[in-house]
Amino acid sequence: MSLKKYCSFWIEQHLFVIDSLKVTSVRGMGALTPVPGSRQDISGLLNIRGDIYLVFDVGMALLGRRSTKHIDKQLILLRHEADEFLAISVDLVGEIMDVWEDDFHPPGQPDHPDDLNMELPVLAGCVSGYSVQNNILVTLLDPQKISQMVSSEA
Amino acid sequence: MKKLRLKHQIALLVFVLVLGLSTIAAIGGFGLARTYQQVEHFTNVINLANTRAMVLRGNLLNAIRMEKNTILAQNDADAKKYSEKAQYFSSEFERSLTDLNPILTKVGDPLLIKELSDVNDSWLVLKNNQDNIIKLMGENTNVKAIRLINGDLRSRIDDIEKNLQEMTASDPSSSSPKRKSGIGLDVSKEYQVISLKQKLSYLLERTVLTLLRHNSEYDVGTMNSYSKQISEYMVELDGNVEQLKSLISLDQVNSIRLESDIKSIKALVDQVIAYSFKNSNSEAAHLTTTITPEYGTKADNGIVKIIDTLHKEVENSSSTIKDVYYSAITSILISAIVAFIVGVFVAQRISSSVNKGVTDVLNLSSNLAHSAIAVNKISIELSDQSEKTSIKSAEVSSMTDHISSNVNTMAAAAEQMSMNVASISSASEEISVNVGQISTAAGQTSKNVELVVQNIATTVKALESVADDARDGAKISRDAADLAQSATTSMSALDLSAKEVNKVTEIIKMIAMQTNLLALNAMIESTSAGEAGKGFAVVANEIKQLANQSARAAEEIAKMIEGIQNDTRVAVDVIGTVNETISRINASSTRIFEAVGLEVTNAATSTESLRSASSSVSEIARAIHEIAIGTTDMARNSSEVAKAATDVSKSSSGTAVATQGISSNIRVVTDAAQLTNQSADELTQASATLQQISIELNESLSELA
Repeated sequence: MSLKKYCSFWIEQHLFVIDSLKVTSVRGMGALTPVPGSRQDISGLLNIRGDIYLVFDVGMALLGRRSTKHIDKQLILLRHEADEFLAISVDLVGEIMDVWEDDFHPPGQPDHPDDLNMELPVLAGCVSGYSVQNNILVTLLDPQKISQMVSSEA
Repeated sequence: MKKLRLKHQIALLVFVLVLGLSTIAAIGGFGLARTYQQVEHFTNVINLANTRAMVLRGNLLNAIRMEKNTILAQNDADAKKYSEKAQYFSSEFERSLTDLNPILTKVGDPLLIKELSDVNDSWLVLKNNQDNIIKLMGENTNVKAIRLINGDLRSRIDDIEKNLQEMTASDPSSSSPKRKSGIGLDVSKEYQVISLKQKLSYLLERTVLTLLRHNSEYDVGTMNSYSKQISEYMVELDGNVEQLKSLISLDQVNSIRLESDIKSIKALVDQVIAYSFKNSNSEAAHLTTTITPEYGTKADNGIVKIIDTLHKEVENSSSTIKDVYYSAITSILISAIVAFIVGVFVAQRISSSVNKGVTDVLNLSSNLAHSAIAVNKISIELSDQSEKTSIKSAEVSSMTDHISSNVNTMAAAAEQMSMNVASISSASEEISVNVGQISTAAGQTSKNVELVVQNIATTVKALESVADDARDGAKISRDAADLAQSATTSMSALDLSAKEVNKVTEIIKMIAMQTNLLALNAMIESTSAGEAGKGFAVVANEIKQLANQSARAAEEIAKMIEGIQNDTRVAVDVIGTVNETISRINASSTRIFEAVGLEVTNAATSTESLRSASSSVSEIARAIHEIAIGTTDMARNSSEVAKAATDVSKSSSGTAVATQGISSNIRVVTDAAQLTNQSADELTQASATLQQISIELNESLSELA
């Protein structure tokens, strides 16, 4: 088992992580082009150096409500496959965390007694595992599953 | 207002001011009472409801969490602990729900009551579900099955395998002359025994695995198929054991032991299957992943709606309190302005009334002066007449000496003259008395005017003192206004500087945030680079720390700037208020100074006029006194003339010329006396006028007093 780097981010008071190798870059929110008639969790389209990214409001998808904690959201650009350019909008990008791979337990076996996320069935779609770091519950998201979630309900 | 005395007018002004202040106080009190009511409603009802709703939500989520932890507990002690906590939070939730109901009723929004009722309905389902889960977890059959599998069953299987190993090793057929195997059997038999033992182990292992699958399964159909599979394994196991027994010769003890072991395994398998079929843990897990999320989310959403509605109520209450507060302030200001206007109006009326009184006094003084001049003329005329009368009387006297001895006819005329002169004398005496009275009245008037002059002088001194104070006050006000203005200018400059610093601070924060993102991107790229990126990762980390420090410093500066700006705004407001107050004081002082100046000038003029009137009246008194003396002399002379005429009457001689002269002289005296009488009448009238003027002056002065 090895120590891996994870890119962390906050949505409201919940801390999530994504494998750093699956992340291209992080940036502030630019000028979004909204897509009329699209789902509520699709924030819009963003042109970054010629590539058109679909911006996905992961907070809306995971928690079922639009987070109002931060006015200026930030973006995490995910490594794209083929023609899929996906970015997720988050409240605040956190640190790059070093976590042992096997610290993450699959869903259904949480370590933390204050696991709020267990109550929300929608999370199971893209959650890979949970871990407790410094007494804070950290939820590992799978970018592939996020992408599937975006395209499956489109 | 004209008919009221000055002290009544001042009393009216005071009454108006007190009434105005009372009105302001009443309106202010009413406004404050309304504000208090709103604040109380907000504090005691809405805020309390909000707090209780959030406590309710917390209890709900904790109860659900503890329920899940009960299921996921690794051992019985933890399961019991979490189930007790779940029950505790459930009872707390119910208590919070009961407490919240009356408070939401007080808020008065029927939607809130409905939402709470929906939450209650969802909770009833959740509570029932929780009780079932706790009961099922108490049974804990799946865990017991696993314990049996991993405990007794495994050890029994190990025992069988060990026993079989021992049994096959001590087989008596080992003395056979046939080719010996390691276990004393021929090869084919040995092979069969090994194969059977392996099959036995395999069957037992498959049984264990199938039992585990059976235990973790929720669907009854699948469980039945697993049970069927396990039964087949048991039948096969029996077959294998029989074959094994036939291949190896077991003594009775071993045989019984083997049978006993197989029997106990079967019994354990049956027990495990029975536990698995009860499936209490799976059932509890199923309940917690189906019913709990559905109704838990419903209840949570209901509570969130209640909290959102209460937040809106908070905003509404806040704006209502503001409105009430502003309306109270507006009412107070309007009342103050109205009271001020009414007070100024009343004061203006009183001031004009006082001015009118002073004007009346001046007019009266002027009239008094004119009357005094008239009296003076009259007295001059009287004096001329008296002189003429004296001259004529002297002539009469010399004439009568000449005719004293010889006129008979003069006797009757002289007698008549005596009678006329006697009446002149009495009339002159009467004149003398009346003039004496006029003199006394004029003297009294003069004294009264002197008193008025003295009072006016005192008033002038007081007014001059007030004017000095007002002038000093105006000067001080101007100085204070200048200071306040310069302070306001300094505060404005400070505020501008603070705003500039704030802008720079925002830029620093933006730069810190961008630097942070840059450092994160550098870390991500260094991760992609793998080992080669480790050095870069260190540099990126340092940059990130620097960015964080910058952001923190900028935050602290922004907080300080905000504090300074708030203090500056407060100071500017206070200085503005002071400035306004000083301006108003300055204006009032100027007006007072001008008004007092005017009054002093008027008072000085009045004093001068009154003094001259006083001196004129004194002169009048003196002249009248002299007239009185002259008139007395005239009376006395007339008496002597009467006596002389009587002597002439007694002697009865004289000449016609002398008699005519006497007659004519007496006629002249008579004319003179008539003129004197007329003059005396006019003097009496003038004195009466003067007396009337004095009375009116007294009245005006007493009004002023």
